[in-house]
Amino acid sequence: MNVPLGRPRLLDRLSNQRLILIGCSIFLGLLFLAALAAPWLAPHDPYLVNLAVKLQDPSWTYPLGTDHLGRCTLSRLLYGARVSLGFAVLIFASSLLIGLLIGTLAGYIGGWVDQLLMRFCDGVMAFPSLILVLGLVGIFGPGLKQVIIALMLVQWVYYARMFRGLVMTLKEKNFIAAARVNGSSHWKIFRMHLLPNILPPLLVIGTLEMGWAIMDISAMSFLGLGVQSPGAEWGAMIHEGKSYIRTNPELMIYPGLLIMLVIASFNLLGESLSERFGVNKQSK
Amino acid sequence: MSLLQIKHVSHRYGNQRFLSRQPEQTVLQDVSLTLEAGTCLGLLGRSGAGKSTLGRILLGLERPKEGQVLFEGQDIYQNLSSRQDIQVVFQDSFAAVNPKLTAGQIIAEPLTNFLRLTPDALEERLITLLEQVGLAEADLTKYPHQFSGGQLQRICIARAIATNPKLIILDEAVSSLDMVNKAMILDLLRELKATLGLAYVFITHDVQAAQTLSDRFVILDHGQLVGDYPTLESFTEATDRHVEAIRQAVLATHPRYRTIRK
Repeated sequence: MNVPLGRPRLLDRLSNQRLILIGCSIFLGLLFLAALAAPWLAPHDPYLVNLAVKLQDPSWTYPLGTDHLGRCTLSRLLYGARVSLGFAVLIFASSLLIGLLIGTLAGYIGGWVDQLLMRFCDGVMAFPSLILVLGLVGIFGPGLKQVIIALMLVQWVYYARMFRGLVMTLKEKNFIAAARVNGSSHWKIFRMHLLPNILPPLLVIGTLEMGWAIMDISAMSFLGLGVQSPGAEWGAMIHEGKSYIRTNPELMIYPGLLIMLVIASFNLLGESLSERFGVNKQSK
Repeated sequence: MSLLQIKHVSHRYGNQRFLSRQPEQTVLQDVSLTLEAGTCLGLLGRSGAGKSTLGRILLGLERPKEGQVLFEGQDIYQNLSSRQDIQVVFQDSFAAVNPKLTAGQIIAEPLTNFLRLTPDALEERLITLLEQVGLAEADLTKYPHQFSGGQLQRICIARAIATNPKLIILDEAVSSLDMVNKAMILDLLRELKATLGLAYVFITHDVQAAQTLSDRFVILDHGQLVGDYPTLESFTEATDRHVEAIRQAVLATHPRYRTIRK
């Protein structure tokens, strides 16, 4: 077998974990800042309709051109980042909390409580999550709020399963037994012994899940179930731009590119974090 | 009154699941024992004999299916404040401490649970405890991976004696240490027993280790008490098959040719 000598190949250099970690963190950090500072950064009101300037090419006044209603594309992208990133964080945080609570309870108590909770999780996991979200949105009607709630109700199951597994392995360790003999309350055991030891995998799965949450929100909006017109959101922007795919494909390309970059960044970040902490992603 | 009375304790493990039910397995059968304050009971037996289960029951981690355990005349499951008086040292010290905590935090855990100490008094107590087990103040801020197995076992001992208990369960506490560390830890345990008036239940399969520390010896086999030797002499002179079986289970320090019986 030939061992490559000299300069490492491009692929090897690209897979340099530290580089990916730093690069993705910077990109996502800037994007979060841009989303927060959207009202100051955006050159125009993202909802201001001006048919006189519709479908314009990039110019100094409209850096990325305008859409079919003459709205500034750059401004809409910036405001869209607020929806996508903001609600992805919300979905992530809330489903994580529910999953942490239920998974830890099931793993720590065990017995019939565990059986009951996990059979329920199995039931939810039996369906692809998109189908469940579609079903829930079908019941409650389209809208961003419904999509968010539906995604939360579906996502926590995966966290619950992961935390249950982690807690079950930890529970058998003697330091938990020692803590009980030491007179530590269950709450103290959770805070002092369980939580610090399940935090690294939590970080990894969380990063990967953020990417999924963004994609789910955008997909729902694209299907017309999430953010409703005229709301600025990346998926909704693709949805509105698709009628002009022949004449103005950039209306779809800009938000599509952003979604792709953000999700790729979250995934690469999650991968390199998992490498770093030695977390097995399959464990979820 | 005896410090600890174990009265007709039986225990079974059953795997009860949602639909399937596997047959229960008897781990302990009608075990009765008493332990006086300040003495060490050597609890010997081969692996799977139920030694550690008995240890877990004495710690209140598991409740026996039958029988009761009295500590100073009171049922340990009714009177949970007796927990302060019964502590434990486990075999694998690396699994017995949380890897994310410093030595100081590990030893402080029982102290903060049972005693109300000011930060200064707590620190002072921690340093005293470390010195008692032969470690230095500088070790307070170290993490478990920075210690050797023997040092970490000393930290576990410091944690166990932190709240001035009356009884410590030593669950194979020296079994995974090398000969030198084993001898030093045994010395430490004997010293602490004398100075603090501790009683031990020394769970082990190592006859030699048991002989250096214990005042009384009992043998557990298949969950039943099969031998009770009230003194060291009666144990060393005993020749019945249970004692022999346990002696056979440990490799000699200086191996000679051994004939393999067919």
